[in-house]
This record gives sequence, structure tokens and C-alpha cells, in this order.
Amino acid sequence: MPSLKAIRKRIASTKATQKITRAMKMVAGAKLTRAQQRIVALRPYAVKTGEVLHSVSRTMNEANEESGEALHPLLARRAEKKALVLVLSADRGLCGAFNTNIHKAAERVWAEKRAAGAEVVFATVGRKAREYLGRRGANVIQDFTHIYDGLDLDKARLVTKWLVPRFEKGEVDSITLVYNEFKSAITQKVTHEALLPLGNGSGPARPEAGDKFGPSDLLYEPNQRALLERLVPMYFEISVYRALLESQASFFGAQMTAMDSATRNAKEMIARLTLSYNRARQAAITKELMEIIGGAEALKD
Amino acid sequence: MADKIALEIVTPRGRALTASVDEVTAPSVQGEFGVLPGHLPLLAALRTGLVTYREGSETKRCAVGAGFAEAGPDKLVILTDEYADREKVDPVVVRKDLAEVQQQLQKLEAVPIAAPDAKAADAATAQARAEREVLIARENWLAVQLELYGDPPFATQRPYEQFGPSPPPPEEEVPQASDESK
Repeated sequence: MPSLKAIRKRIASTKATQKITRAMKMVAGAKLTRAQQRIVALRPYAVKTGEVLHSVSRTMNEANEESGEALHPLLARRAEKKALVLVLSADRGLCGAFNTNIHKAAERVWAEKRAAGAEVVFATVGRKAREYLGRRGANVIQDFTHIYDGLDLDKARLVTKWLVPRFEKGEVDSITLVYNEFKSAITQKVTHEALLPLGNGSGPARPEAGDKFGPSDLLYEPNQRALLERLVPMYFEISVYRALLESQASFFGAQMTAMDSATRNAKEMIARLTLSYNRARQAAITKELMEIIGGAEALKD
Repeated sequence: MADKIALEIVTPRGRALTASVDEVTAPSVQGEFGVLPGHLPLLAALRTGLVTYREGSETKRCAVGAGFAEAGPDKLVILTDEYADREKVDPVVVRKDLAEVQQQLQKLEAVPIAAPDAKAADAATAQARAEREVLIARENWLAVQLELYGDPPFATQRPYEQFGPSPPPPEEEVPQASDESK
């Protein structure tokens, strides 16, 4: 049985750890709320941009279907010889299986692309993915750091500004995004989606079906091609920004859950330790009493 | 026919403005255009500028950044990166930012800017051009905020923010428009 002092020390250190995990949980909770608000704020913009882009590219597709020429460099489809995988992980740990899930998904995409005969290169956001993929011997050609501190559209643009030329110049033929999609504070879903080439014509039908004007009746100012020139990069930026936000919110969600269970575990441990501490104390008192009684008995005789 | 337009300005930071108005004027890349109820469906690229809208007899203005607008018979949705209304503009801060941006631009003037289609453009000039474009866009945004405040800065000789490739000459546009209408 460990000494009383040793148990006391362990209780104190567990309590200190619990304080830290509880604080981290609350901080993650607060940050999660803010990240969630930003996702909600971005949603109408993202939806609208996607809608308009799809309607423009669809009518343009109808107009020059036979020419077979891509409307925009970012819409070009090429045989997938070299694939770029953009992995969004976190900069820090202490968030349960968040990073592990991402790593597994990245690994899976890697294997898939390799099986399809494509060369795979990686770009990473977040320290964890870079370290992991580096260890696994993957070809990480670019790493974005400090994207998550004060994440906003300008930070997301740093990523897109690097990605777009790679695709436009034909250095890579596709870009796949691997990230944690935010479902709720306690669940995240690892998603991988093809980012480029942007799917054209596959968008949702325009909601206002009762409108007397079809999408082809739209007037364009200055013209469709010029509009597409602006819309496509905008849509792309928004997609990346949204994924970053989702990933960030997921991270805080995962961290909150992990820290919550850590706090609970610490509580259980303290209860267990307190029990054995009390037991040890009781045993010591009983022993002492026995000694006193034994001594008194001995004196009587 | 609806007699009001549902004006909506959406930014990546959320819905900036929703209002039911009688008339809107927005700055497209080809000049300002007005929208009255019953407007034909229109998709226009916007540049940094002022949006004017009238509710009854009250006319209000706000500043928007580059983006685009979708108009319908009873609605106008403006999607843009930036939004500001008059109450939000702090002229002191904006003027200070503007001075900074202009200073940076002046430094960049020294770097020779190759034409966008020049093949020999090395990485340094390309980056200088990209930086310049960002700065010009920022300058325009700050300038338009001051204009909204009622104290526009002096006009500059700099080109307005580039929009896509070089604008097609107007005579090319006419046959293209007729192709699309088929």
C-alpha cells in the first residue's frame, strides 16, 4: 500500500490536471461558438455563389457544347496523371481522434489515387498533417502554417493563390480536399471532395422553378465569359474558406469533447484515490490505536 | 408585377443588408445601372462603388466592394467581399489606411511592371503585379468609403481594378449576344 503522502501527492496532481482540462474545454467551447457563427454567416454567400456559377456555366455549356473547349481554365478536365491532395488537419493535439481520422483518410485517398495510376503530391494545412505525412514518406510540396490563427477570407486566399496556378499551369491535374466536416459539437465527419476541376453542370436546379424566366433568359453584364472569369475563382475561394472553417469548428468540437471526457476521467480518478487515501488513513489510525491499547495492557500487568 | 424590390447584400461575413426598396442603383463594371421593380433577370459584375437605394422618399447609400449582382423582377442580390454603411465609416482610420496603402503603392511604382501577356515576366515582376493589384483594390475600397462619408480623396491616375481579362471591344460583344439568344 502506498504511503499516505504519496497518495496525497497524486490527488493534488490529478486535481491540477483536471483544472487545466476543464479550462481547455471551456475555451474550446467558446471558440467553437464563434467558429460556428462564422460558418452560418458564410452559408448564404456560398450557396448563392454556387447557384449563380452553376446557372452561368450550364447556359454556357448549352451554348458551346459542340466546341468542347473548356469555359475556364479551372473548369478544364484532364486525365489524372498527377493529383494534389490538400489535407486540413490541426496545429495542435489534445483533440481525441481528430488528427488520426484525417491521417487515415489522407492515407486512403493516397492509396486510391496510386491504384488509379496517378502520382500523388500533398499540400498540408496544420502542423500535424505535415509531420505525419512527412514520416510516412509522402511528397509534401507545400505546407501552410498559421492559417488557423485569426482565420478569415484573406488567409484562405493565401491557400487558393497557391493552388490555382498549380492547376492552371497543368502542374497537377486534380485537387482533392481532405477535411473534417462539422456535423455537431460532438460529431465530425471526415470528408474528401474533389475541389478541382470544379464540377460543371451538376449543380442543383435553380429553386425558383415557378419563375417565368429560365436561366437562359438572363442578361449578362459585361458578358458571360467575363462573369465566369470572376465567378469561378470566387467560388473556389469560398469552397476552400468553407472547408477551413469547417475544419476549425470540428477541431474545437473534438477538443471540447476530448477535454470533457478527460475532466470526467480525472474526477473518477480523484474519487478512487480519495477512497484509497481514506482507507489507508483509517488503517493507520486503527494500527496506532491497537499499539496504544497494547501498550496500556502491557503496563497493567 | 411586384412594386418593391427585395434588396439583399450578402458578404462572406453574413447578410449585411436586407431591405424592401423602390429603386436601386449599383456600380457595374460597365458603369452604374439602375434597377426598378419588374427588371429583367440580369447578372452583372460589380466594381467597388456606392449603391444607392430608395425606400419611399428616403434615399440611402452604402459602399460595396467588387462582386456581382443578380437582379430579378422583384429582387436584387448583391454578393460582395466588402460592405460599409455611412455610420460604420470612421474617416480618421480610413484616411490613415489610405495613406499607408498609397505609400506602399508608390514604393511598388519603382518596380517595372511588365504587360500581363509578356512571356518573359519573371517571378518578381509577377509578384509585384499581384501585390499592386491587391493594393489598388484596397485603395479603391478605402477611397469609396471616404466618398460615402462625403469627403472623396483626389482621383489617381492608376488604372481601376482589373476585371478578368482585358475587356472585349464593344463591337465583338454584339454578335456574341445574338449567338446566346438563339
